[in-house]
Amino acid sequence: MTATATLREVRPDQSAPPRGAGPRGFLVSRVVTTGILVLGALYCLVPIAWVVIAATKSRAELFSTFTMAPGTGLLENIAELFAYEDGGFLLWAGNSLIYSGIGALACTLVSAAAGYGLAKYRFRGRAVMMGVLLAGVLVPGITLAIPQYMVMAHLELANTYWSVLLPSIISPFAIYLSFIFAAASVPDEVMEAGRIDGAGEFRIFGQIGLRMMVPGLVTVFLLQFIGIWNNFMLPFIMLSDDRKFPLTMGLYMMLNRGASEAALYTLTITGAAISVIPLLALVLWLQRFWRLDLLSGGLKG
Amino acid sequence: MTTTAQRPRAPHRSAAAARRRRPTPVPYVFVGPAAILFVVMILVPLIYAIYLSFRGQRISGGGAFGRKQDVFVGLENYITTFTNPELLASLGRMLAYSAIMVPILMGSALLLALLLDSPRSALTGTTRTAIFMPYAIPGVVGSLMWGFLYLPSTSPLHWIAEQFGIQLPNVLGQGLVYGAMANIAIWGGVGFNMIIMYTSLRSIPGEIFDAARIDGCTEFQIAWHIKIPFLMPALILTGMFSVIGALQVYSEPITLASMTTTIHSTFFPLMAIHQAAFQNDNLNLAAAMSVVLALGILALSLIVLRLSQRKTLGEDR
Amino acid sequence: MKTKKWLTALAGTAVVAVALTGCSNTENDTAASEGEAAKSGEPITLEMWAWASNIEKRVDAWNAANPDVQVRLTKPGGNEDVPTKIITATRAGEGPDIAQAEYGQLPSMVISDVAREITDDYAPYAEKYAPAINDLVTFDGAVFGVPQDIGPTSMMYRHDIFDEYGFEVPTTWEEFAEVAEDIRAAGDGDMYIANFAGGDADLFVGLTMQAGANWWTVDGDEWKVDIDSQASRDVLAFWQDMVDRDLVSVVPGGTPEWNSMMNDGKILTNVSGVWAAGVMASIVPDTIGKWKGARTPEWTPGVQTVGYRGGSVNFVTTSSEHPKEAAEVILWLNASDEGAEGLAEISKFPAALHGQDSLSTPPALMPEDEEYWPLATEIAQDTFPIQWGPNPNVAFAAFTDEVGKALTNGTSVVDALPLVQKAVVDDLKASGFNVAE
Repeated sequence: MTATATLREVRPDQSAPPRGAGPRGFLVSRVVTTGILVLGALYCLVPIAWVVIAATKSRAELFSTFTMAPGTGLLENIAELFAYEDGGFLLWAGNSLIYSGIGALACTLVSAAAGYGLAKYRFRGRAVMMGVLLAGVLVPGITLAIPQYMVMAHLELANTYWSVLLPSIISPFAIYLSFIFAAASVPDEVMEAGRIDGAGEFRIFGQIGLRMMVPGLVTVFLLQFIGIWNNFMLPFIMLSDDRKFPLTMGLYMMLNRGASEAALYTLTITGAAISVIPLLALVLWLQRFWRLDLLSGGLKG
Repeated sequence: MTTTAQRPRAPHRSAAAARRRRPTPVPYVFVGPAAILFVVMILVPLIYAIYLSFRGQRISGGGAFGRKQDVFVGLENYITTFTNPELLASLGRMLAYSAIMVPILMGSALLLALLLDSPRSALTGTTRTAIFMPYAIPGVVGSLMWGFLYLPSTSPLHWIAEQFGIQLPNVLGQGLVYGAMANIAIWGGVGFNMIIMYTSLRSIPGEIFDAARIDGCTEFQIAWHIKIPFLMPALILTGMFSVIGALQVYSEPITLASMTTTIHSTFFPLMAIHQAAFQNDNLNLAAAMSVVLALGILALSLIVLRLSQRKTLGEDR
Repeated sequence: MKTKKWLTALAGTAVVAVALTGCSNTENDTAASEGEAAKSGEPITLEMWAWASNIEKRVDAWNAANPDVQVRLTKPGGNEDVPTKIITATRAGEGPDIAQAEYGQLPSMVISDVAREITDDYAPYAEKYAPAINDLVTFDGAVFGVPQDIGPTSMMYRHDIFDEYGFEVPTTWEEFAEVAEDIRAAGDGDMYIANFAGGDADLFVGLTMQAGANWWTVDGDEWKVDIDSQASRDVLAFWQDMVDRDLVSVVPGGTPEWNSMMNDGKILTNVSGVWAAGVMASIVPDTIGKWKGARTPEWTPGVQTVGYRGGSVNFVTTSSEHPKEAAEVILWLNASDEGAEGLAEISKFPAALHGQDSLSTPPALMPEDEEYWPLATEIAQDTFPIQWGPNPNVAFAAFTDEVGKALTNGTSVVDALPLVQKAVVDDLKASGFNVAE
């Protein structure tokens, strides 16, 4: 019997009507519950559908045709989008991939190590660290934005890829998640067994602990990837070289080009539609790995 | 919050193992990278922000075009923060917004999670994914989308209503604008919260439900008496993060502000902070306001945590 | 706990070191390579931050002709973001050599010690501009920027619809109100003569100037703020009256709503800077060829002088390591005949007189209106002088907010003026300026 919470088996789906309920009552309630879920799904999908449809409209059509009617300009819009600012869009997309991919990966590793250390070891300063970590979640990002820039400037890193990557790697929330995953998925006994076998602590972490934490770490990676991909404030502060901009900044620039420039609604919408595709794909692909149930376990007592 | 309970040392430990139990630098190496990054990227900027809050840019050198100098101003920025009626008004609006947004967000997420977990529901895989999709959309893009759906000349809802001769109210008008912004936040966040609650529900052992059904409980009773109490920790967690998010509401009003006269530039506290820092070159005032806001959020979170601990401890008994 | 002490010491040192260095705001560590390049004869690279569309074409032209002094252009944001970025970056020692700013943003660059004085370099080029334009970049007798383009106000109107219904083109604001009534009564009753975009504070500075208002003036050592003047009140009262009588639409400018109405021909005139014709083509492509240019209606009949709406300068930053070369670049780009012609080619309305003369093809929005640019040049010769204060951003934000509130609450927009006045005066005082009461 283990002291720590292990992954409980997902109970078998019970779709057979329960004893005592008539078949018609069952059907009605099935329709109602499914109906509400479908309504929820539609509510969530309609704006996304709108973006996709709007992306198909040419400039002239955007404000003159019915909102939900597809237009004729999709290919034209895409061509114009990719040609904007000498292929800036693809450059921005590449930058977003770099910031999000490398950032999320590094964040996951750093958080995994930190969470593991906090969960599986006792050491002086541990309680302080946990408290400070939690407090870190409470500070609004906007407060730190310009001071972070100042720090970066004095490290001679302003306006570099590092200036966006380094702050993205540290996420108190990700460390907190990893802490819970480590506590829940890596039993002390396994670590003991490793020690008895003569393995060093770091090998235990690398070969055993990390592996057991993988499902949880995928969640951390996913959330951090989405977070960095969608982050606007950080790159906005740190970057002045438009060749290093991520997609969020590129789209913002197209919309806010200045008092004497037109907002490029068509391009922005097309760009937005394209830029959410990788995220949606990632979500669809990784959803089987979600392990967010353990998250709430950490709050017990 | 307690941590994983440490098992009592078994008496048969070897001497070698006992030696390894001495304090080692190992955990420090694990937490080291995170700690260093935290200090450099969060702690130092935070200290710098606090330092800035006690300083200000003041004109010196006389004449109409003197130059700004960085000087110590003591508590001036804090006094400005607390005595500015506009700031207090924005605080009130923020609380009103949170009072609308958080319950609806939590309630919807809970309802959907329970429905997903119900044996009666079909299409759970598809709907679950669909509802999570908005989380992947950046806040600014989401607000832009909804902006188009809200504005009468581009909204399909208005067009449909017009066909029936109905005049829909201006969603971006004074009364409804809170709902309009809350809607965007709920749209973006319900999926995330729903998933947390749902996966928590899925870890309840099935035997409990079998026993309950044998006893004659309806699905509704099961939901009310078993599932919801079990979800308390998840509800508190998501609740707290939702409240923190609501208190820092920013991207929805900023994007909608350009589409309607109802939202002015300092409608919510974070917008005022943004304006001070990025438009008025008054980073010092922005820092003071941020410190006050952060302390407020901290206090609120501590209260909620204290209350929740008391509650869960009470239940454990 | 040797390890722990060591870690703590390291962290502590990092904190102190970074905090200490973070405290100073006068460091100028631009890359060492720039200084070295000047010595070794290698090309100097200047960094330029701007947002003007197509300005890269002009920069490319300079780079092609000047292999020793290369300019690297980047667009870090739009007109509202870049000024703050410039100030923040320059304070941190990471600023550019050359930057763009609107006329109204230049004073804050001066008082933040970000714009460098270039009086001597500018002197030979002063004759390229009308005297009023030179005043726009001169503060306390010193010149801080080179004017790039200007935006005297003019009006464009839908000549196709005006012809169809027989509307008269108004020459005074009084006539404007009359024609507005005719337009409301015509057709399906869904057309408006204009849109009242209350949030467009920049436009209203220009419109109130027409009536004689001067929002900021310098009186020796003091600033005088006169936003809540009779002239401003009169202008706003005029527009409030139009709003009350449903003679103008009331949608925030640039929004999907506004775009939709413009494209559908529901808004028939647009008062803005003369450059608007070049920009609008991409916003309302369906209406290309249907507009014509005209003078802004006169406030005082017979007085054709108008105010401004927009326009930018280039300036050299105080942190630049090559101020001489940087000044050369911006003077060529904007003031020289070659540069001014180039600006005309990229659809700017150049501040330099030679550039205005060289505008030949009509703007994209009205390709058949051969008179457009000649008219614009005429208009540019008769403009009010304007003195921008150090805090137009405060004025604009307050104006947008208060007018917005008035529109939302149904109160008069004239009431916004005293509130804007107070906000601007309070801000000046808080910054430490002397303000004449």
